[in-house]
Amino acid sequence: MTYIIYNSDHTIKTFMDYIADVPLAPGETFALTGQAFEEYAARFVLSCKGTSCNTVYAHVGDPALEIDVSAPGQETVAVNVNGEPQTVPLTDGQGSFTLATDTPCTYLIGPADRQTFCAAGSGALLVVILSGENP
Amino acid sequence: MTYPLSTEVTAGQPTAADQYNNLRKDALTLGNEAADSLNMSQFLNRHFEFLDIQYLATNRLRVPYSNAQPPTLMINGYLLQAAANVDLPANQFSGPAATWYIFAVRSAGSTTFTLMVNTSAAEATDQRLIGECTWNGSSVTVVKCYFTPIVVIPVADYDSGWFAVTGGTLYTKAHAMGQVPRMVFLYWCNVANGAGDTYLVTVVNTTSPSTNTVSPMYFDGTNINIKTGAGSGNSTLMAVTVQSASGYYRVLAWK
Repeated sequence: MTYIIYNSDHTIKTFMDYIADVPLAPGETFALTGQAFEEYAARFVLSCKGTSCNTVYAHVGDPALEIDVSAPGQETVAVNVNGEPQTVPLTDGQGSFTLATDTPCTYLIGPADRQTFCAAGSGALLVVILSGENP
Repeated sequence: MTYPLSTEVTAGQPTAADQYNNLRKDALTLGNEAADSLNMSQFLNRHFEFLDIQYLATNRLRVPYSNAQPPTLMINGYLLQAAANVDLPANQFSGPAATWYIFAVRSAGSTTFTLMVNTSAAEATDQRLIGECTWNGSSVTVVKCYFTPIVVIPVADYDSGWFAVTGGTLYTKAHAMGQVPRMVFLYWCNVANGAGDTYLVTVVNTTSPSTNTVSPMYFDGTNINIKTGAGSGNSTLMAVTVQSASGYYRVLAWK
């Protein structure tokens, strides 16, 4: 079983194995799911080159970055990139999209539907495009 | 029980059998019946104190001496204490790589002990096994004294388990220890169950209120709070090889 903590706006804040040690902040609520912790964490996973969670650094002019999305059981999933949602088609729960590297910027990526998927853990990814060429 | 059982005698008073036996019982078993108590020699048979073994160049060993804490041990019923460093003579190791066992050895006419080594761990008369070392065929490498206390880190008094985190968020955990923890560790992993490389989190980066490297954790007698950084790629982990703005945290705390 996994406990899900919701923010006051009903978006998912975090999830964990047990809840007895969590004092909820005003407005926060929790729910219990029958899924195991690892199973729940795998519901929405963002990764780049096989690694999730680690901040991805690239340089201007590098090849476009491919971001992989995993959402088992879904045919599509909406991903938020810097607040802009985009729909990613999935095959067997797996899909991908690319990020441009033509200007220095930061991409903050997470699920568009944060009431269904958690924008923490493996469900969030930061990509930083640095100015200058890759040394 | 009453201790001692024996009483003082006055000059000229004959020593009665009871008095002699009480005196003997006091000396051997602190006044207890033999059926209820080991005698002092049996009780102290494996006694040791202040005993350590150090490597001594070249390919020698030393039991170091301290005036305040002299190496002390019992061998074959004899109470022995070093009066100076006890060194293994040179050229005691030979042959192929092997574990060599270290013995303290009693000799008649001495109140201290000497050292010897053997590839067999069996104690002979007047020998006491006190440690071992590794001989690699040309050098003594690892030296271990069996009497050196082994410190084991106790199981944490509080373990949060893994939980998902992201930047710019306050996570509060009630540790229920009833006091301010004396030691708290915060771990990060990019795998939900902690199966990946795990990092100790000491600082994170934040851009608000200003760009700084900050400690994310603070705690009191009730809660352990973790405030992740914001607006940077190092907001949950800032390590040499990995930076992250998300991932999984686990908190371990000790009273």
